[in-house]
Amino acid sequence: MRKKAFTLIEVLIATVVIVISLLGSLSLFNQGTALVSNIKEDSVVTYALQEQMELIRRTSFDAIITNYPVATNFNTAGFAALISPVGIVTLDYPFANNQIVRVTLRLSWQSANNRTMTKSIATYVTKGGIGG
Amino acid sequence: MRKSKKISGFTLVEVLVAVAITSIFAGVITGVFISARNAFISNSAALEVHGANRLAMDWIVRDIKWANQTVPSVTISGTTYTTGINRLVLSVPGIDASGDIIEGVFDAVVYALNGTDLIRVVSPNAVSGSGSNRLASNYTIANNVNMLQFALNADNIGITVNTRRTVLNSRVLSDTLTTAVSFRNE
Repeated sequence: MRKKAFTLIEVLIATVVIVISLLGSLSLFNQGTALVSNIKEDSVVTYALQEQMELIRRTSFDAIITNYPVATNFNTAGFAALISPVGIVTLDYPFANNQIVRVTLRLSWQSANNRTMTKSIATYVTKGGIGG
Repeated sequence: MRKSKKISGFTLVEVLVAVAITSIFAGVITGVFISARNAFISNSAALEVHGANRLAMDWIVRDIKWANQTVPSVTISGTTYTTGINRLVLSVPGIDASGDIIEGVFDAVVYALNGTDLIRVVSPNAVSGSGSNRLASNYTIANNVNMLQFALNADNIGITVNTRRTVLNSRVLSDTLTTAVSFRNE
């Protein structure tokens, strides 16, 4: 009577399949590491944007409009840690009276895992000050 | 008859092949396990280092926003702290019991490195005046700080903090943050 069992070839093939699927799951760890590096970059970018925002907020409504008439590039110390960073200041007037300007800072860069990333922060500046 | 009956079992070769396959399999699983463990240790340590670095940065940013200016130096319980590239002595408006600013009274807040510990020293009335209710303190707010650098610009103070830690015997985790803040009470 012939016993039913796996042949050596079957066992080898099964082993190879399992090994390949395990190696595939290794990419999960890489994703985890990439995520950590994205988180770190995000903080670097946030601080770099805040640095520029600090400079802009020190100036007056009129000075902001004079200094950034069109989309203007900016550069801060924090950019040194990023790959090909491009920072742009844009102004717009979301309210009809043009007494409130919205300042948007947008920073795009290449992440360590070669993706193009963008982050922006915005603030409002009023011509007369709050309640003015 | 006993002899004629075939006893079923494994041959030596079969057992050896089975052992070899199992070993290879176990080896691969161990490799995956070790790299998973290493990735976990180094990723979580990297996040810890990053969190500590951000915490240190946020403390400094908050105190600079409160401050009205830097002062060249201040002496707190016998130790003199001098503002420079690695040390910052801030003059912060004094506060009364309800937390409101007292005119003409200024406390000192110092950031300095003590070895690789980032310390924050607070001394009420140390810059000028008296009667401030801010509590005196001397805390370590971050460990493993490798570099603390200030740039005293005309418009703001630039800050760079680097935290560094070694995990898994040789993997160096380094985290650097840079920003600049202006005084709000100038």
